[in-house]
Amino acid sequence: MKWFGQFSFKTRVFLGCLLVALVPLTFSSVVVTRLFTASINRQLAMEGNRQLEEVSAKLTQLFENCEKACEAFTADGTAARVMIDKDAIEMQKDLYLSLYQAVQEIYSSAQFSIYDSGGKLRFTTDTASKNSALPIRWGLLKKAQEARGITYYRTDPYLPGTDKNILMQGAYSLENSHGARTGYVVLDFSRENFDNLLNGFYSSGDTFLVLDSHQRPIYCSSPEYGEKEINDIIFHGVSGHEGEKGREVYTRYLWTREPSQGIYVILRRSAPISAEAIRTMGTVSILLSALGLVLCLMISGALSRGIAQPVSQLDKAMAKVKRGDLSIRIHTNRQDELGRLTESFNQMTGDLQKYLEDTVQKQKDLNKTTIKLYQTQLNPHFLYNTLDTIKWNARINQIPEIAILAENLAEILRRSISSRPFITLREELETIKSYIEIQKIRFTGRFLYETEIPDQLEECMVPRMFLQPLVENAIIHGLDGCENGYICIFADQKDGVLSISITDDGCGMDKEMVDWINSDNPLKRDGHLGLYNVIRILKIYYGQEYGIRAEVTKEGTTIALRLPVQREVTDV
Amino acid sequence: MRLSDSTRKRWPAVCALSLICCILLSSCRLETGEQPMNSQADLVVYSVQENGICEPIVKEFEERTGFNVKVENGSLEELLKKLEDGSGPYGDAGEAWDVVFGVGIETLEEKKEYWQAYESPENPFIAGAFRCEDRKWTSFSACPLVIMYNTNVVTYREVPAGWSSLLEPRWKGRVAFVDPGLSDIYSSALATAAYTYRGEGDYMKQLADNLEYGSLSSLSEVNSGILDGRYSLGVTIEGAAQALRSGGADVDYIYPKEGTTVLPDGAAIVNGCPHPEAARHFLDFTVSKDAQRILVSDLNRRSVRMDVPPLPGLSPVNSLPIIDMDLKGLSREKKEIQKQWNKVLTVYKRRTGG
Repeated sequence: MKWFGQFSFKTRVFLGCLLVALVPLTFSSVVVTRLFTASINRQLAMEGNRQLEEVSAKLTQLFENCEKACEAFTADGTAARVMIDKDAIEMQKDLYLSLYQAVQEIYSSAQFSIYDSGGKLRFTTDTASKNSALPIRWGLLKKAQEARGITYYRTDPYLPGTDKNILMQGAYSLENSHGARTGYVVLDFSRENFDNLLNGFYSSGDTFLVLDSHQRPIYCSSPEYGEKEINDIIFHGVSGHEGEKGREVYTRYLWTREPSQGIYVILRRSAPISAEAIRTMGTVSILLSALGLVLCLMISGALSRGIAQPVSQLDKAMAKVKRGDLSIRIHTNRQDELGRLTESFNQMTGDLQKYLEDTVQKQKDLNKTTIKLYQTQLNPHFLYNTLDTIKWNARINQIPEIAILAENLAEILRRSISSRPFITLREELETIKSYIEIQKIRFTGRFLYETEIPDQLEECMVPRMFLQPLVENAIIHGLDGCENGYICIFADQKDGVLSISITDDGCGMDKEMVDWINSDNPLKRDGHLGLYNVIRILKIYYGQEYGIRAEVTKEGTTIALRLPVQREVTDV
Repeated sequence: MRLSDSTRKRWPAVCALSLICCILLSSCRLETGEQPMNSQADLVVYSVQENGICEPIVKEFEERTGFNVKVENGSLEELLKKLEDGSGPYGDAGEAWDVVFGVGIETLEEKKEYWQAYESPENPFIAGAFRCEDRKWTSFSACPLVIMYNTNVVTYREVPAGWSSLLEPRWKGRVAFVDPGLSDIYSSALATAAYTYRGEGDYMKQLADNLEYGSLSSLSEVNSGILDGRYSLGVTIEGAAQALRSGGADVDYIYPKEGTTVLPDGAAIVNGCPHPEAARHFLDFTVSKDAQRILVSDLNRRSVRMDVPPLPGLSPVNSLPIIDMDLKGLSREKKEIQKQWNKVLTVYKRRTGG
């Protein structure tokens, strides 16, 4: 079956269709023809054997009847006496009478004659003239002398004295009461007798052949057959050869042997269906097969093309996709599975293309952010030193506010330009603390700041400077105009998600702002760059499911951040 | 390769299907026919005899003994060829011959080495001339050569008298004769005629001339040729002529006055035959009184037995003009004759350019 796999898909579909359509057709036509002829032959043989049985039984019956007739005729001994006593005309009349009576039953089957012991004809029921003498030292009478009952004898066609019309003779020795032979009863079986006997047992195509116990022909139901044809039939019967092989329907040769006299009967049955008809059957089935082949070629060709064409189109398109051409689309009008498959392919390449473009855009955005970040790191040491100078000058000049401002600013600056994108939550909170210190000086302690962070969460890694914009928001916008404001940063962990909330009890937030924060992908917004950046950072770093939610209640505003709990930072 | 995997899985189904097909197809085959009839022969006879003689004898033999006899008919030429081939006396059916029947005695004498010796109990009744000295063969019948003529075309004044009558110019082209190369009878006839010829010139040359260098190929052609008048007269055997005459045909025959030959035929048992017992029975039967009687009364042959007289109206063998040549002489003469005849024909053909 390996070779089959080497063909292309189209060829395989084609060959498969062809096989499936042709093999059953051819096979069934062959089987039907063969079964048909076989059953006919079987029937032929069975019927022939039955006919043979019947003929054989009929022959046996005939022989029995002849025997009976002879016995009845000779039982009283008159016949034997008349042979010797030639003068008694009265007795001769009686003899004829008893002769006719005895043979009544088999009158149509045989002619009776009586020959005296010297072989001379004395009485006969045969109306035709016949030989007046039979040799007693040769042939029939010689055979009868040595046998009891009736002896049957095939007449010898080569002997000049033989009546050609008589095919078989039987002889019955006529003996008087002392056991001396006085004559013979001779039965003649002519061609007509045989015709009568076998009539109705065979149809026109059949031939019956009756052979004597030495297998020499006695009678042939086809009178036109010469020696050659008869010998041919005997040859087939003897050798058991079936005639005319290779023609599907045979001429059958059947035979049987009549049990009492050993006479053979051969029946030659010619086929009821001529070889011509068989040939026609063969031709028709071949033509049907040819028609089937043509139809098959057409349909399986169309089918295989219909299946294989879209598949090969898809195959080629896929090869292009592999090379990176995502713009490829296959046009199809089909509504079936292959049509849907093609459409799915089109959709898939479209999606892939869009996704690729998105990814490229994201990368560009990231690059832009990074560049911006780098720009902010310019000349940090100069700024530190300056701030340090400011701090020490303030200490010297006893202006502690400025010293605190400068110190915390330097701290925030260091954090904000650090090259590490992620820092621990503790570090971030320290930054916030610095920021609060500065803001407390700005707003002269109008608010209270608290953190509520569990110790184990302090080492969580978080993006750098991501809380600062929110705290700034809370101080600048939330506590705007408030005396004694309150800001609390609260962290919690649940199911690997770190929640950090920044709550203020200020004036709250307008609705539009809340919606903007809570939307999935908030657009850039003027005046809220810090907040926007925090949202973007969370989304980019951790994915879409993390981010910020805002909640405004009567007590104040809570901004909740959701991000995964990470003890160490994986590469971004 | 997925597909071929699945097809491999389907293999058992495919195999089962094809098996079923095979069984179905083979069941359509005809059961072989009935048993053949028993055809075992108890005796195989190779006969060069005419069917008309052979068949009744064989039939009666079968009837009396109950044996099954197989008769193979053939020509003397074939018989000799097969004997000389050395491949053994095997017939067409591969059966060994037990008996050769109807072969001329001089041929039997000549091929002695192929026969088994057997002396029939009937031997004492056989006339001395037809007895084999070393019991190699048993004679069966005798048939003198005669000249037969059609009484419608041959007037009583023209009735032939002897061998020399065949040379008469009025019968030019009207003499029926078989090529001596083809028939034992005619080579014997020619030998006899040439042997007894006392006239001028070469008998053979003159005869060939009178036959117009045309000859027939079998005895039956001669008989039918004379019977239907194509030929006026010809050489045949007594039996055939007698059969025609007693059958009422317009023919008559004479025994040549110069002397004729009685051609005896006979039977012999082949060396190493498979059924020697049956063969001996057959030989006994052929010379039995019953067989010889029927030979005379119905088959128009002469008996080789001394106690079976010819039919009334036929002269006994003793009173026939028989030439004084023994079998060996005749056999020698025949070979010579055939050679000469061929020479005559060759000369003629060369002359006519045919």
